[in-house]
Amino acid sequence: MRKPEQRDLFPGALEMMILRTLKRQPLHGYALALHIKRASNDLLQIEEGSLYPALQRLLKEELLKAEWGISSTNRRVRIYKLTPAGAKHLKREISKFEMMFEGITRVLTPVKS
Amino acid sequence: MRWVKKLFSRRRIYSDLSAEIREHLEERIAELVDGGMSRKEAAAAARREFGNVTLVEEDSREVWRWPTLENLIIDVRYGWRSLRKSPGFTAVVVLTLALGIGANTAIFSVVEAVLLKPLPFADASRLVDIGSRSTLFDFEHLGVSLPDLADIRANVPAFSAVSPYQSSSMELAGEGKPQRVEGADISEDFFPLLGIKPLYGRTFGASDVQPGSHNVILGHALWRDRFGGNRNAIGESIRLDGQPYTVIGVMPELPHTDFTSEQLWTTFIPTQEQLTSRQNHDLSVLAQLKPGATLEQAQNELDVLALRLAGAYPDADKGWTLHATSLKKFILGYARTPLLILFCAVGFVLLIACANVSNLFLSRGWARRREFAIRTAIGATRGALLRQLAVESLLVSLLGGVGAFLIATWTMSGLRAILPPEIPRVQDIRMESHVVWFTLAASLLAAVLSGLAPALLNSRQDVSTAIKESGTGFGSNASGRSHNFLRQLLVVGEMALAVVLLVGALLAVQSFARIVRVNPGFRPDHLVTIRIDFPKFRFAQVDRAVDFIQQVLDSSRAIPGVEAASAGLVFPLGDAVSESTFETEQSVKDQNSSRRMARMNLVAPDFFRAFGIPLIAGRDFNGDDRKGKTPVFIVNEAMARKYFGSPDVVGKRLSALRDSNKTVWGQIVGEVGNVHDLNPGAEPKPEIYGPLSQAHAAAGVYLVVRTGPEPMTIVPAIQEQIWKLDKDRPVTSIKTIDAQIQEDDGPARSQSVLLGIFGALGFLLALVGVYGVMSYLVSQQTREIGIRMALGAERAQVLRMVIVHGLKLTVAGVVIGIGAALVLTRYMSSLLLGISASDPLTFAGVAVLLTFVAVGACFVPASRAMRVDPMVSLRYE
Repeated sequence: MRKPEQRDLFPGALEMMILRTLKRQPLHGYALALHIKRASNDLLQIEEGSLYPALQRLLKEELLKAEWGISSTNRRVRIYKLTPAGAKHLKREISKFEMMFEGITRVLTPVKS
Repeated sequence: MRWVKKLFSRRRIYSDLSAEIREHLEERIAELVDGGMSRKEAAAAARREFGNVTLVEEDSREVWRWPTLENLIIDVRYGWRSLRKSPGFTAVVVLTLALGIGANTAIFSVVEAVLLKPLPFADASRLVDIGSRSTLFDFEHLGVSLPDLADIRANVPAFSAVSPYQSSSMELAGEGKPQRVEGADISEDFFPLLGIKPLYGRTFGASDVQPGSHNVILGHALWRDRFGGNRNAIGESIRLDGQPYTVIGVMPELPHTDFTSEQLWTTFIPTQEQLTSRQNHDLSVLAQLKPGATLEQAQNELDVLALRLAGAYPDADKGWTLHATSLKKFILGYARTPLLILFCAVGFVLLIACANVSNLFLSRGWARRREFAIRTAIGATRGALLRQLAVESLLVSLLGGVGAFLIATWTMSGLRAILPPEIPRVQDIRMESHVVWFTLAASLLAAVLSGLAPALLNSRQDVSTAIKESGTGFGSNASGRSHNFLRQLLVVGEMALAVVLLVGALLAVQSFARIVRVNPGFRPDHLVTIRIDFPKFRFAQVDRAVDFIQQVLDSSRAIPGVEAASAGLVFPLGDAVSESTFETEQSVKDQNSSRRMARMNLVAPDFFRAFGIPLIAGRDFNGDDRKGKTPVFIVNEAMARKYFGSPDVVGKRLSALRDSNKTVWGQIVGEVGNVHDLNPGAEPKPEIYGPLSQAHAAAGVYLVVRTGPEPMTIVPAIQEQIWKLDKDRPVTSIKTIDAQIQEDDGPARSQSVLLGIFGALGFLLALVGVYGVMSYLVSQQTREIGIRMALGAERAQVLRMVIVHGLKLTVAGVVIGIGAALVLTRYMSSLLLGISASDPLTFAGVAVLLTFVAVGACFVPASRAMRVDPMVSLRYE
């Protein structure tokens, strides 16, 4: 079978970033990749390709919808948009993530006496 | 129904995806070119940043699939395509597997119907047959006397029930001629023990098992024939042996075994003699083990009892042992060994077929290694390749399974005809669900056996060498070497299997050939036997029966075409054998001697002439040998030699055929040649003949008629003569001796035919396989041969090198095969007459034959390789 390549930082992270980015504005794939790279200050080394399987998963779960359109650079592109279900899912995921993050931080922070 | 919509919209989704990724790359390239890169560099950079495009597409598509199932479907489609691209390979593989699996399916259908299908008895594991054996008699299975049975009932706690029964033969009156029906006299617990319920009516109750009871239970077949399957048969009356019997029950259809194919059942009401005499070891016994009791336990208790009985009643029970056999073994046991041997043989055929297919897969994998290398290069893992190869071998195996099923179905009627009809339930063989499942399982097993090793080897890819190689250096890398090792292993294995198969087949065929060649001691052609029964109700006195037979013989001899006519209680090669105790003057003096037994037959005059048994000395019986006169006997050579020690026995005294317990001496008036059973190598049995006219009892005789023309054409005239004398006399068991011999040969014949077929099939497959591997191995040595020849090696030298290599493998295979055959053919020994299971000539012959064949298989490709110009063979790669 295929190698479990590094498409995820942790399960669901990439999806969450996609949803978060798309919440601000609908984007097409390439722009989305640029956005995520730039937003993370290139700290997260994501292969651009790994975006697409994630996008397909979100489409399948109907958290996103996609339409063919014309980009600002006059290319025929598929523009992804958050659905209401996607927005709700994002909210839930973020709060879950924050709780997890808080937990991790507590464990990692040295106890001050 | 959303998933349906998804299924249909998937094509769009996939093309959208591809378009989108293409656009993504284009956009990135455009951007990089704007930044000043050359287009080529930009394309490479864009791809690098994007990652593996194919993989990304595939992963993205996978989101929309049911992954495992659809991967499988894709593999199947791909495999199917690749098999269709090489139809020759596929046809050979499928055909090979179909033959291998088909042979197994066919034999399994027999094993299933005969051995595996449960008998229709409740709690069958607790049912047991009790029989006896005696040092006196040469029979495997004798009965038990009623007084002994009472002791078993009282002293063997392992049994919760013992139920005596005996077979019976009765005359059933009806429209037209009376008919003989074979049945059994049973006790009231017989059917309840078996757990068989009547189809209509009831089985016997305690009130039926009383003297004077005239109730009868009909078997399914008789009920159908006599009453047209009408349930109103219950309460009807039928005449059996001249007495009216009331039908109280009809049994359901039972399997075709000796035990369950009775035509009717009446109640067992013991005679006074049966009640009191321990000498009558003649009752069959059905017993049931107590819950929790084992067969061994019962046997131990029986052993103890038999010893005690022998001590207490030496006259009747000395030398007798009692034996408990599970009912299943009792009914089916004798069919077990021959069937398991056949099953073993077809198993070997399948293994050889798998070895051949395995080799074909290896070669095909070698030819496809570039395809695999490329698939590996574009992201397929070894697992994916393995799965692909596994799917391909599954596909061909399943196709082979389908072919096997067809082959087995088509050969089914032939198989039924080859198998001897005495095998129980042989009529019940059919293609049923168990057989289908077996075929499927055999196909899967074949897939694993033939596909696993090649798949493991072929999927081991070294991308760079494989692509670079593109056809150079056979066997020059590790994977080539392990391919060759596996191939050599296959040759050794195939040789070994072929040796075992051939040895087994040849032993069976030779045994059969020897049985056929046995000289029975008489002329078997143009002889017919006809059974005439003398039921007590018509022939209370044996003299009436003897008179009747005399009249029949007189009128038969007048029929044109009849060369000789006689009669006997039994006849040579017949189903029945009778034995009697006897004394000679010598044996009476010898105090220590136990009772002596010899075969005994009572015959009418002309018996020996009719059979063509030579009269060596003295005279035949004649009309003067009557009751009341001194008993007269004729003995055979074996009897004369064994018990008189001289060929000059005419005039000596002999006592046999005791009317009561006192010794009555008679005189030997003649000596005749021996007759033989169809058992080559067996010593002829001592035999005494007495005149039928001095018989004390005769339940029936066999008319023996030698004819000039084909015997069956004369039979109607004989029947007519019999019916002229007694229009109600049933005439049964009309059979020529030739037919009887055919029937007796049956098991040996079918065993040798079937083993011969499978042996030949296995041999051919092995031949093809060994030839294939050898030519392959030699073709790999082509370059080496070329170099050697270029360096001046002699042709003979090179040829020897190639052949010695092949010979090493062959000898290894043959040696292993001989060893395995020595172990395995021992299980055949009970079926082999006239030949030892380790017959050295057969073993040596097979070893030499296979070695020659294998050397031939090396020689052909080797000489072909040598004809090639060394330069060509060097460039060849």
